[in-house]
This record gives sequence, structure tokens and C-alpha cells, in this order.
Amino acid sequence: MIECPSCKHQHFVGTLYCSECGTRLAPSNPAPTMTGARHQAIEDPAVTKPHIPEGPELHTGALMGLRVLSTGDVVSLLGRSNYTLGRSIKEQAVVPDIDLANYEAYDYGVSRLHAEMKIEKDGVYVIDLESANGTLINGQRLESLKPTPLLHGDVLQLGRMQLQLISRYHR
Amino acid sequence: MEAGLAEIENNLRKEAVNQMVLLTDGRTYGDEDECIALATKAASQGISINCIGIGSDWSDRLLDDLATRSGGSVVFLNSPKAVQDLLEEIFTSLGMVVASRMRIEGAIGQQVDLRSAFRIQPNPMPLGDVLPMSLGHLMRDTQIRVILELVVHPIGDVQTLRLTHMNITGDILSGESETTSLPVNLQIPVSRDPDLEPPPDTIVDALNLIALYRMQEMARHESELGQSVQAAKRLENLATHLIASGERDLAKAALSEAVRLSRTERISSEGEKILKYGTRALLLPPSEKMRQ
Repeated sequence: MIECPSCKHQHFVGTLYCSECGTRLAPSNPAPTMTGARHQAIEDPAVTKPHIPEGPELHTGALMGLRVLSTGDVVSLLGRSNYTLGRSIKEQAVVPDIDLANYEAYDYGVSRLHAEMKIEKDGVYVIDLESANGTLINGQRLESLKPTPLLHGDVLQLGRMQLQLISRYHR
Repeated sequence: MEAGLAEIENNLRKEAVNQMVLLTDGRTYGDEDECIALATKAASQGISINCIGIGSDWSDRLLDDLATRSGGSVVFLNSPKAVQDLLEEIFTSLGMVVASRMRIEGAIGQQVDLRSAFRIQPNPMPLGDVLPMSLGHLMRDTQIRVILELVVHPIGDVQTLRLTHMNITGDILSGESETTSLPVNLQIPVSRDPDLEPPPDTIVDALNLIALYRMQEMARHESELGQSVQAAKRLENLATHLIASGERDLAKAALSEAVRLSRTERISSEGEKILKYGTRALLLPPSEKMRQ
């Protein structure tokens, strides 16, 4: 038997999707988390667009990632074309693709399903999923459900939590 | 239903498509068992039943049962306005049938169990786990695609394992009097080393969507058992997956039913159908999805 990593339900070997929570069971590409140097985080990026980071993250193989500005951690964005952002809660078996619960997301006003990122051929887009506290790019509030481009170095703000896009791709 | 079937029975022909379209508001009067008996009889005569449920008060389980037995389909319409378009579509498609009364017959291998079957094309829906299975009509230039979920029990020291001894049968409408039968004997090599190659994408993708369909079925089951907290949680999970697949409207429906569950401990009758037929429709090819 194999166990669902998300809800611990037991399945026959060879099962591809958890019947309980819909999680993919076959080994897939999880988004690894890397730690970058804290001092490289920019303190108040919403006022002026921060300079483009040339930090060690880019040398550790993260071609695209989101840097959590409060800690400097970088969440890799490789292997998929679509990520949901939000925070998990204890009783909920399935977590968003990018789970910010460990970054005090609740205190920062991040919704459980806050926003979605799409990695398209022509760039990265962010869609606010009608979150309670809204989504901002470089201080500009996004219209709900409307894809808005996010460029390398831009600061994405979910509620009051700030994340910076690091990208070697696209513009 | 009885009158309609009697009319078809008077005109039954092996070289033709024998089809019933059942338009219903779904109100039965304690005669569901009789409906099922009629559908079983119809199926044995090669008549398939397309069910169209209008409004939200009909029993989707009854209509699913009628359709599964007879190789038909079920469509859910919010309002009667779309009926005409749908009927035209059904009649057009009936003109494209090249073979009717398609069935899977035969048996599953020893040490193997059929856990479930799901037709993914056309008209995605579960087909139960009992052979023979009615598949409906085969249209020109299209395929009927079915996913079978098989469980292999521990086996001895063998090189190959026979999974199925099945036949796919059907009546080709160009006038052949005999039923055509194609053997489907699936065998797989047996090895101690797990196969690291992932299954084809089409299968993985379809299973992903079937998993979503099953989640809403399970949530509904839980809410009927009074486990509304668990059901609400499951619908929230479903919504997460739906958003990840870009299905925002359906995700919203799942979330609003989750909220309703936590308030009233019930899923709305309309919500049940939106989620059931909405998650089934995820399996439709993109061109047909647009129309839904």
C-alpha cells in the first residue's frame, strides 16, 4: 500500500490520484524551498521598485522563484505552469501550491486561496482570486480575477505579505 | 416512458439506431423501480436512453442508472430554453452513428478485479463495475474511450498476466446481420522491478479529472450521512483543485456549497447537479466544453 502525503489515506500501489483528497500520488516535481541571504531582502519595496536581485539564489539553480521578503527564503517556481498561492490551515488536507502558512501568512492577511500565478510563454501573470485583503503589484492594487503581468524584480503583495519575483526567463 | 418504449419496440430494427430521448422534470411517484425495470428491458432490446433533466428537482441517480444500463447519457439543463438546441444536437449526432449497441462483454482475468469503469468519451460518466457494459453508439470518425480500473491481487511466479478476456461487440449499421465482435485480451509482463515509466499523459490527465468527480460524489455521500463538516472540507479541497485546473466557476460553486453545508448541513439540490455534471464535463474535449 502507499500513503497519500496529504491526507494519509492508504491506496493500492499504482494508484495515481488520492480518492480522498485528489492529490497526485505518483512522484511529481515538488517545489523545493531554498534559503537566501536575509540581508538581500529589500525593506520597503512598495515605495520604489527594488533593484534586480543578483543574489546567490540564481546560482543555486532557481531560474524562477518567489522571494519572501520578510525572511529572504526563495520558493522555486519550476516544474509547473500554474501555482495557487495562499495559506493552509490545520484541518484542511490540501494546501495551495505555494503555502505561505509558515511565513505567518495569517497575520499578514493572506487568504486561504489568495491568488494564482500562471507562467505563460510571454511571461508570468498573477490573478487575484477575490481575496479578502487584495493583491498588489508594486503597490498597485489588482482587479480581481484579471491576469496582470508580473516582471522580474516586481513585488507581489498578498494582503500585507510581500514576495518578489526572481526570474531569469522572459523580460 | 412506457408509452415511448412501446412505440420504439413497434419499430425496432437491428440495422437502425433505436434510441429514446427522455425529457423529464424528474418527479417520480414511487415508481423508480419500474423505471429501472423498463430501462433494463430497453437495454436488452438494444434501445439506449438519453436523459435530459430540467430544473433541479429530478433524481440524478435515477437518470444516471437508466443511462448506464442502456448505454445512454444524462444532460442537466438549468432552464428549458436550451432544450431545442440540445435535441437538434442529439438528432444530428444520431445521423452519424456507424455502429450501435456497443458493449464490453466477457470476463476479467484471474487474480484481477474490475474496480470501476468510466467512459471518458463520448458523454463522460461512470459505467459501474459489472460486465457486460453498455457503451452506446459509435459515431463516425470518433472514438469511444473507457478507462478500466483493475486491481491485481498477489500472483505467483509468472512471466505474464492476462488482465482481460473481453469482447467488444456492436451492430454495424451498414446492413451486416451478425453482431460484430472484437476480442480484447490484454496481457502484461510481470516483473519484480517496478516500471518507472509513467503512464501516458492522456490517462493521467483523465484520472486527475475523475478523481475530482469522485470527490464531489464522496462529499455528497458524507453530507447524506450527516458528516457535514467532513463534506464541507472535501468540497473546499475540490475547489482548490478546480482553481488549479482553471475552473473558477465550478470552484466557486463548490465553495458556496461548502459554506451552505456548514450553515444548513446540506448541499443544495441544484449544487449537487452543478458539481456532478460539471466535474464530468471536465473530461470533454475542449471544443465540446465551450458549448456546455
